[in-house]
Amino acid sequence: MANRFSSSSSPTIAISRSDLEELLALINTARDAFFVFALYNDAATREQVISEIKQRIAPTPVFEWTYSPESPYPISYLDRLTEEQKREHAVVFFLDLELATDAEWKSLDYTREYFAEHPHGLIFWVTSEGRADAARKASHFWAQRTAVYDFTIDNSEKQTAWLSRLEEPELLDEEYESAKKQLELYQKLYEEYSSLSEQPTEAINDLSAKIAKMREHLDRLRKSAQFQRKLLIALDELDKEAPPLASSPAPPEIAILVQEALKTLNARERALILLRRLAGYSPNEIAEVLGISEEAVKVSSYRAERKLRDILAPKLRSRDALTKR
Amino acid sequence: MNPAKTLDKAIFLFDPIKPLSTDEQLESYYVDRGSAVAIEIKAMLDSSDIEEKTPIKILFTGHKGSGKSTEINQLCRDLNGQFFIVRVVMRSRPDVTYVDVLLKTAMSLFKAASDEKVIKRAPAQIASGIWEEISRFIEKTIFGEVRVRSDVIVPPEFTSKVNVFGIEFESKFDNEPASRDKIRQVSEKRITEVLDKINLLADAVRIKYGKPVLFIYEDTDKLDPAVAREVFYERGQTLTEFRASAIFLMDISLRYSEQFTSLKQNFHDCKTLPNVKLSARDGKPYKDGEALLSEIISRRIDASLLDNDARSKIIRGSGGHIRSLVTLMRNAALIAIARQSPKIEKKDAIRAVNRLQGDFIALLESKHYPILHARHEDKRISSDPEIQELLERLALLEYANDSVWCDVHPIVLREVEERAKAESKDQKAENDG
Repeated sequence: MANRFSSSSSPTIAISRSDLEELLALINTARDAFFVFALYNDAATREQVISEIKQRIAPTPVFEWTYSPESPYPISYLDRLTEEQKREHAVVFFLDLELATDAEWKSLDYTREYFAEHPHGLIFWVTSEGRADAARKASHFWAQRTAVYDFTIDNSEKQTAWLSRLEEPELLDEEYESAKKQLELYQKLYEEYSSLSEQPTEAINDLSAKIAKMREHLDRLRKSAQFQRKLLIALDELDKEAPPLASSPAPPEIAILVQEALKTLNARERALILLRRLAGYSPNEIAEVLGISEEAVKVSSYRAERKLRDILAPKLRSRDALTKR
Repeated sequence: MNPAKTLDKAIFLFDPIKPLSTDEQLESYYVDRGSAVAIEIKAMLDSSDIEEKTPIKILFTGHKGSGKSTEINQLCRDLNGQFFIVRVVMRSRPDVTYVDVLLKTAMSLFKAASDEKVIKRAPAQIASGIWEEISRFIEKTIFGEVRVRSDVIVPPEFTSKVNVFGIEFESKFDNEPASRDKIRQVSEKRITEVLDKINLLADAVRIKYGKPVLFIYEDTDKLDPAVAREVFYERGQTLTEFRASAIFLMDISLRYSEQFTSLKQNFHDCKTLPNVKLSARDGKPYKDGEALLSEIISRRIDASLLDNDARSKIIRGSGGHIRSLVTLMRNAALIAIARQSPKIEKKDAIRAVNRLQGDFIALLESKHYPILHARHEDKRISSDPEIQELLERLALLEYANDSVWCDVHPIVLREVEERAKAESKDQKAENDG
């Protein structure tokens, strides 16, 4: 994420301006098809970058394709275009491809000649997991990319917020209920529009994408609730006098030192250690719920554990000295 | 076509999607790699004795982006006077079978021959007899149980009829899974007839047109490895039974599989296109390789648009892998355009290299680094799955001179060396402690 400045359209979000300018240079100069990947870790930032690109390349047509189980193959974006649109220079954003199955990813390899036949710049928005998926599951397509542009932001604050919420059951319940209501509304609207004799296709497609996203969000919240239950048990244990790590081979006084040290960590660090070491979740599972990369979970947990060790080390040394005396 | 005089134009000429394909592009931008592979393929085809019914079947492989398609396109150009070249374009799908390959072979030959009016050179009666036979075969066998669309007007004249059927076949076979299954089922039962018709027309082309047929199979290297194994290993014999020479592009992973030796039964040889080496196996710089890559760049972009330092940085960063070179050049040009510079400077090349490096490093796992370090030390290549995986990811690049060897892609070399250094420091501390 080198060379970061504040985005002109959004002063609150810092993205890589140089990556944006280079992507715009590509859109403005290339007249044949090109494939690029745009890396993101925050949906709001992604929307802002898309919006800025749209503004700055106008009147070049821009199309969006969002993954949905009903239309899972990216090549299907062509079905929605007229013959004229297929022939003219345009930019197409592909969203949420992370939800694709292996076979759907692989379809990029099988259809890349069709993609290449149209003068469209194809921009695939992916998280770091999506980038790895593309490289592994659609390796021929991936090999023909022009570049990967990095629009990730430092979202450690956001992660902390997520992790903190895990310690506050009311917030999570509220969010779950509200998301459920929203999903019900979308589903009702979808049914109603679909039953009309003259169906509003655009609205139906939009609702279909929204329903898919909301289901994904609810799924994530459901998993968070499971996390929450285990985490709260672990936190309760920390407050009890009995050592929570009693099952560990460590002597009780060490367990108490660990408890005290854990309490000095911030919510994010504490939650990561407890989720990994006490509740036994894998980095992959934690990453899925938090919507961040597995690598980020590993790095953050490693740092939190190192911090814990640094806090514990002098205490353990003085305890050893006392014992020896 | 001249080298690009502006960076905007250069973007077109450094395109990682499209190989050089037209005569004009090849004439202007193709640089002879002096590769033994192309020379050997030509020599083998020269020696093919079609009259004795021993046409040559060659597998041609190489890593993704090593330049196979461009080499094949140039080879076709070179051999155009000697052979009647038929390109068989396999649209890759997860369910491709050897029957598909043979049907595409037949239909591509029928179409190429009717386009060229080749058979019309034969006395009218014979020509008409051949086309009638082929037209009947397509109508009764290939379309036997599949209905031709009612709006398709089938002309009475046989060559035109074959052309119309050819278009209908492409459409049904590529877009209608149910029709494809039916055509496949019927054709598989009558595969000998499919081969007969290929032979009938290939013979007629050779005898009446004066050139033997050479099939070029494009994109058979993009088949799923499991599908490719089925097509080449298990059905290799049927696949190569027709009386014409052929070059099949094949995925390199098959080259290193245990079953590879069995391929020799059906194919005369397997040629691998190596990357352009920039240093010898012992690490000494190989100036010819650098000069070759420099020539590839010079053909496409005017010298005034690229600083020499930038050129060297890009050449070294590519590791002699052609698509890496093309991608780096395109990105360096974009970076220069974005900062409104009229030419590519060293800092643009560095940023382009760093961008590509980021992709590579993000996809490597900790377990890969010791393997990469060991290969950098010994340069040995093997069929070990982990080595093959790293070759597939291009973190390792294959080279050849007297022997085949590999080295770490220079774009990740520094990271590999730094990690190895840190590892050895930790190890030492552990031993000392």
